[in-house]
Amino acid sequence: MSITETKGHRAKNKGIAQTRSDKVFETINIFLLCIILFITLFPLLIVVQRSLVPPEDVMMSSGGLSSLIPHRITFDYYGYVINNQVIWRAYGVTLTRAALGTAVNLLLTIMTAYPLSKKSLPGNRQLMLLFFITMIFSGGMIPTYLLVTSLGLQDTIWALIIPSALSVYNMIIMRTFFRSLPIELEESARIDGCNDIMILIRIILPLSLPAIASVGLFYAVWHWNTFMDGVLYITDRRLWPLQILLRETLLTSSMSELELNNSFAEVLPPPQGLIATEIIVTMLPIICTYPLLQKHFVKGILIGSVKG
Amino acid sequence: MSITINNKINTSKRNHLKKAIWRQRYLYLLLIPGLAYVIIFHYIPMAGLVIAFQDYKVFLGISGSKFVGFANFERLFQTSKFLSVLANTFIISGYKILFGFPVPIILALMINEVRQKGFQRTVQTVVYLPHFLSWVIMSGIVMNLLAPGDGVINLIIKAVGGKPVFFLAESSYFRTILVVTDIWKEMGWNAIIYLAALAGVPQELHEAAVIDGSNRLQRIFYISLPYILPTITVMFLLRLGGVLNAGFDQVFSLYNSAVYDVADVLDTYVYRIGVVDRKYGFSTAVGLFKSVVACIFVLTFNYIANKAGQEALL
Amino acid sequence: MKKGVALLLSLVVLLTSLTALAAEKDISWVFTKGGFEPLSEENTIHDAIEEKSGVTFEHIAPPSANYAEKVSVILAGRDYPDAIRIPRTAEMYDYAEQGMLLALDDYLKNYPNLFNAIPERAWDIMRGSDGKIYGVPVWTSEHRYNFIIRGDWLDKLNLKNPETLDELHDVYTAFVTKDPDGNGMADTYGIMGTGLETFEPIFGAYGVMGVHRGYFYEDADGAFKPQATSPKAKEALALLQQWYKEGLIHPEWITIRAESELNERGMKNQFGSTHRWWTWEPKIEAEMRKIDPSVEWRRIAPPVGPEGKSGVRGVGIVNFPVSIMSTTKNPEAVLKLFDWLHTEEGMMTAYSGVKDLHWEKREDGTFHTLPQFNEDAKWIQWYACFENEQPLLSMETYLVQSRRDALKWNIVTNAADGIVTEAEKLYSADLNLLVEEVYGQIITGKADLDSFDNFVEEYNRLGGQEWTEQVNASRK
Repeated sequence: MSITETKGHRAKNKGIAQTRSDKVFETINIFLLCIILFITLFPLLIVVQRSLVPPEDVMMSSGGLSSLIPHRITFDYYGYVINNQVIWRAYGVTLTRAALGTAVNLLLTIMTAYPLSKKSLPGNRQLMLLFFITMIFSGGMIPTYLLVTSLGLQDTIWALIIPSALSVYNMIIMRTFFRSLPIELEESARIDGCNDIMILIRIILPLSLPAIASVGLFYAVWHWNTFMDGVLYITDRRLWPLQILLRETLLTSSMSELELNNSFAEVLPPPQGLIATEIIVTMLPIICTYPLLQKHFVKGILIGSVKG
Repeated sequence: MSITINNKINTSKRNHLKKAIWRQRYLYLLLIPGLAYVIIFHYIPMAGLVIAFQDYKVFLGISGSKFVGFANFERLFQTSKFLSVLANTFIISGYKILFGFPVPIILALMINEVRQKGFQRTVQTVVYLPHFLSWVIMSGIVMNLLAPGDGVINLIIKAVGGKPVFFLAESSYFRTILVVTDIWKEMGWNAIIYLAALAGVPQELHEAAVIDGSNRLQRIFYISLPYILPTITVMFLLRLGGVLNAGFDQVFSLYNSAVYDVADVLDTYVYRIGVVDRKYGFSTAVGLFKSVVACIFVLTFNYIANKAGQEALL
Repeated sequence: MKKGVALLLSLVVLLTSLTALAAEKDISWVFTKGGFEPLSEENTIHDAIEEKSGVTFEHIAPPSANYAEKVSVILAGRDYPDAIRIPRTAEMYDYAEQGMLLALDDYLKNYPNLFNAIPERAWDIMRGSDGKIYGVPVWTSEHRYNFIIRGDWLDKLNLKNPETLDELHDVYTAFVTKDPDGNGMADTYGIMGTGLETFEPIFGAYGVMGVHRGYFYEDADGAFKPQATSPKAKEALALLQQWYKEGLIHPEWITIRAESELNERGMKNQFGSTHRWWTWEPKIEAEMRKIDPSVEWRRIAPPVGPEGKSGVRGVGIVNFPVSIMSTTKNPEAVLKLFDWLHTEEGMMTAYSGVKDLHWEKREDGTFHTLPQFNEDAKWIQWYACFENEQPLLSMETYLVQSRRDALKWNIVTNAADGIVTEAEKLYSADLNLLVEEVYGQIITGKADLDSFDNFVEEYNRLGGQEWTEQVNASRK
């Protein structure tokens, strides 16, 4: 093969002849995937359906699959949510923390994973052990809270970013990816006179797009879905991220008395439809992120000069 | 005479080491922010683990609370429910690892083999969606599906002439439900990492194999799978770090009094105690216990992985 | 792209610099009335409360879903508020012992509205081990539950309101066999609920209540004993086991724990009666009437048992305390605010909004809502921390009759209400679980009625005995 872009395992196969057994395999594969497609789509369809069905019709449904097709559709719930200032503000907070947070996360993760990916680095194992222990042992909610507040981070966006700046779990994943890259790449660059940092930036990173995309996705989704740090560190309600808002409406309608004192029964529970709509609206941006990232799940440009 | 030679060897070893460190100084520089973060935000609060050995009172704080040795742990170990709760935790977590760990890998391999780009992208996007629905929502859906009267599953059973089963209230089915619904919800999300790893399989390997006459299945087994084996091993070790997490949100949303004997896990147990008796010493002790067990598991399997020549955590 | 970056940066700047921009307030108060939309501090009700009470306050409202955790970290930290709603009464005793809370006895005589609005028994529950009062109790009358049945089905089947257990049994049989919702399917049951609470009116007919909540009763010799192991409970179980076998009880009573799930089945006409906290039935009735105006969820008296007893659940008199921290600099301001909140106008304002904006008091003395009430319904109860009886019972809304009726029924209460013991802290979680398990097995027929006797032994062995002894010991 000449020095060309390889799109990894994806676009190829076109060039390879298909035998009969291949075609059988493919048919079965696609059939099974269709089934999986349907069963994983199903819960989301239910939630979408709930967000579009007027409450009166909920009573009419008899359960089962036939109820998936609504008789009437209403956009009232979406109208309410879209016109709701409170939700937009929470959106802004969540978007900001996700964007800023993921950027900080990726930076720190790459900086930490790269040196640790070098087995020849003196002290590698000991350093790794140091990081590893924090993944398993934790001081708990109160000590962490005391530390974060003693640094004065509460009620700022930094409380949602700095205490979670590095996930050792994700860092290990990144490290594994770095280790899978052929060592010859570095060696030839070193011969050319590059230092470690230049190698990282110019050679390793462009080839690590799948890793950066997936780890970035993991961080972004974590930021989007997490709520406990918001509960602990954000007192100002204007800074509440989306998830806390969602949990307030969601849980008051479904939790048992044990959690909420009996007094909460005074509250009119929001209709199922509104909850469903809020869920959809909350999920939408983040589930759109993955398809956008998918094009990065291919290997970057392979430098032909390395081969042969 | 030999002493001076030894000294010379030692000094040269040390010089060697110093040179190696200096040569890779930029790498150490890169590590500084991560280390600082971990020390400040993880090791300093870790001192709070001492609460596990205290009769912690909020007002007195850590420094003022009384030291009680292993009393909190004794409370955990001596409760009549401890063994059953621990067993449930291990069993449920074990099943989830045994059955739930391979499924995303297989799914990733399947998706990877699809040639039609559009379909492939669609499947990839859809299959991870259930991850985003919380268990509060999913449990409602599961309850409706498994309802004894008009749930879809029972309707199907009735249609083929069987007797409907009240799945969620049967101890013999409940753990299966936990495992299956967990796989259902998370398999797409967990497959992402393997898909990313599979993106790196070199084209030439497949081409060469085809020329040699391998079919698709053989290529999966002999090329794709070995290529992502390091990822698989690392993910397995990471998964073991959560061996005593049987999935609090899921169990809590789905369990009921008919299945407590098989479903009550460590986290739900501690939660219920906490509602009645909020003692931080106790919950910290349980957390510490879980951490120690997880540590043992991970380090053991890490050792095995190393011995087997595989990629490992440490 | 550039615009996006600029927007993001300005948001970042805003968020990083957001400090306490609020004006200095007299006091700060931590509490949450969950389920409502979060508010900005500038709203009509907050202003009205401040103006009329003469005290300015900063309201700190943690998310209700994690309220207890947030309170724990607030108390572990250094920045104490002036007043705080404590998640559970038992915790208050603990904090009082550590010296964190202010004793209110000496102050209360200056705040008659506050002191007189609350029953003495509720104040007594607030006394710590030194006999001093450490919190303002958010109290309720014990009447909070209704026994509810589908009135339209009774009418359709020409049945009168069942009064005894036997009559109830016949009504349920009719519901099950005669397809009252007319959908042609045998999918209707007599009774349903969430867990053991479903059967509380039946238990009440035997004088039993709160078996899975650690309720006690007073026996013939004046000793307190747990309801869960009483021989009357066994009788009730026998009946329930029989009814379950006859198919009168919706099988999902044991799996459904969320009210939304229950409501769904209610809307699908899957059960004809239930036992719930007040105002449940007018809400679901209103929903269902949009399709079928004849739907009626009727409140009736709980059924009378073989010995003439009956009752719905009587709840504990105190929900939780609102305490003042001992570090407060301004206890009088706090008490002045609380005092105003216990005047008639204060109670109504906290519960229903601003006078003459959200509600009005008419010449006949009744209270009615104004259009703005519906406008602001999403947050109108945000400040109703104290939830006094009076506004609940007087504001004329579609919910109020449910509350007024609840006062009519017989109740069975916890004789040991307000008694906190060490044994309870250690054992009650496990014991209540045991009750749920065993009772569930007996009712659904998985276990014999005779297994009840083994259960009694196990209950006592696992801490029930100790708990009973401690309860009897701490009675003054």
